[in-house]
Amino acid sequence: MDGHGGLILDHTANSPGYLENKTMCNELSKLSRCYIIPPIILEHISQKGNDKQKAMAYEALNVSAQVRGQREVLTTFAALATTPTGTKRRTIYDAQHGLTLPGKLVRSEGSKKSKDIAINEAYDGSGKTYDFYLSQFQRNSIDDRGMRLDSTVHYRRNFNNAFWNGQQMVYGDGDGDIFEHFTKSLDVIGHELTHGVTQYEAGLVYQDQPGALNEHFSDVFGSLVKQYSRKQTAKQADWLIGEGLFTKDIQGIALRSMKAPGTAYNDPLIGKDPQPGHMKHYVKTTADNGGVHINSGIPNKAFYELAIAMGGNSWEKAGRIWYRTLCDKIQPLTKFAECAAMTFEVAGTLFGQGSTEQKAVRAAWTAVGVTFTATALAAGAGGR
Amino acid sequence: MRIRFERSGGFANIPLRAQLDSAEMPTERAEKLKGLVETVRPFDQPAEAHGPVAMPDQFHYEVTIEDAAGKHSIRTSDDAASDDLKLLFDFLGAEAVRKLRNR
Repeated sequence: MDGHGGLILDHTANSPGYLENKTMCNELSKLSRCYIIPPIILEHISQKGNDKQKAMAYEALNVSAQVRGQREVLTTFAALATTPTGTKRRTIYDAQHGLTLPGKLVRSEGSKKSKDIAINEAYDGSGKTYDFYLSQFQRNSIDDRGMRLDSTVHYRRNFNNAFWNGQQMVYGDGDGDIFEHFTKSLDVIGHELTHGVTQYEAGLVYQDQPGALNEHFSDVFGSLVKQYSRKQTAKQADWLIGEGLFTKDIQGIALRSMKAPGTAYNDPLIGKDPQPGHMKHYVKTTADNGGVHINSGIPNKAFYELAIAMGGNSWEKAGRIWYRTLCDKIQPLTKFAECAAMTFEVAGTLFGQGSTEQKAVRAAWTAVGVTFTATALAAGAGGR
Repeated sequence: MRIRFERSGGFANIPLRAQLDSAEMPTERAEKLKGLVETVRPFDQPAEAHGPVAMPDQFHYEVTIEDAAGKHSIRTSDDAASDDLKLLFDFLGAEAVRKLRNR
């Protein structure tokens, strides 16, 4: 077993994992190397998947890439090429309004500016995100192994969305009625790229509270990329996600507000921002993977409170606690209270037990109704 | 042909819901819809289709199509839907926004 509780599958070796998962290994016999799959996913596929779905699981997860993200087994793969720290490799593709990914190659690292604004925004935004992670957290790209940053712009027609598909970032142009093009806002790019970081570091399952935390970490680092780029302190920052994405016809300033969840928009056509900023308003729903974009407002607000309480640049203290928590503590099924306890523990390690910083972390979570004890942490670590 | 279209999730998570009727559309768009539906063959599609693992920021769809042949609902998302279905969803999404704007 690796440090994340994943199972090492090796159908060529007589390991305990092989015996326990002989069926899975037989399914994977066409694969010639060891792979690591989080147990939750293994379970899901082995219980519910048919052969085709199992094959799709590997496609979707980009398993070989996941292996590269697992530090615990890196020694096994010493021969794998790693791009030296500080080597940024960006590639931008144009889907030309079609469905095929990645699409036509239109700009690569070091090549000259395009006449197309979306291409340049994707290039510059992914570069700023890479620079932020490297300079502040010594992180070498999405997988911390120098992974190439691939982005596709002009995906589909009137497409009001942006996403990370497990391997690359994808941006729509918006319909021009509700939305502008999605590369317009730097924090959207930081948000999508961070989904990649979370995939490699924590594997947070995209459902209910773990899913809302997945969204939360993307909003936090998306906002921090923007704040760092603008050289803004916590107090100066707008704490908005997706500012400028709405057309002028929509009554709204952004998609989400970390400072004041629920206040980003209120419009006759699209309705009102549904985000809560406190546990007492937690939204129970089956839509949106159990409200992952809704309840993320609660930890978002906690992070904002912490950054303001600490003062100065948000990425220096609050951001550092959150980054180390994501990399070292968060598990696929971590919930809010467990995450809070983890940030408290990390703050103690970084700044000292009983330090002002550690106390501020507890106060920030308490302010949004997330309370925890030491047992919450133990439950979180063993409760998967 | 009557269609109930519902889209949720995505980075923005702004739900979009509309009741559409090809009889209320101008001929050109009604024909376009007819063509898309003929390609998709919705009545042959599974009622539920999802990827093995939920991926971030994907659109989710719940679409019910009703015509002389009967009624059928499809629940799926962008990480599981076929390209033909996505083309139909993009058309229906634009029609839904148009209808909501003009109500």
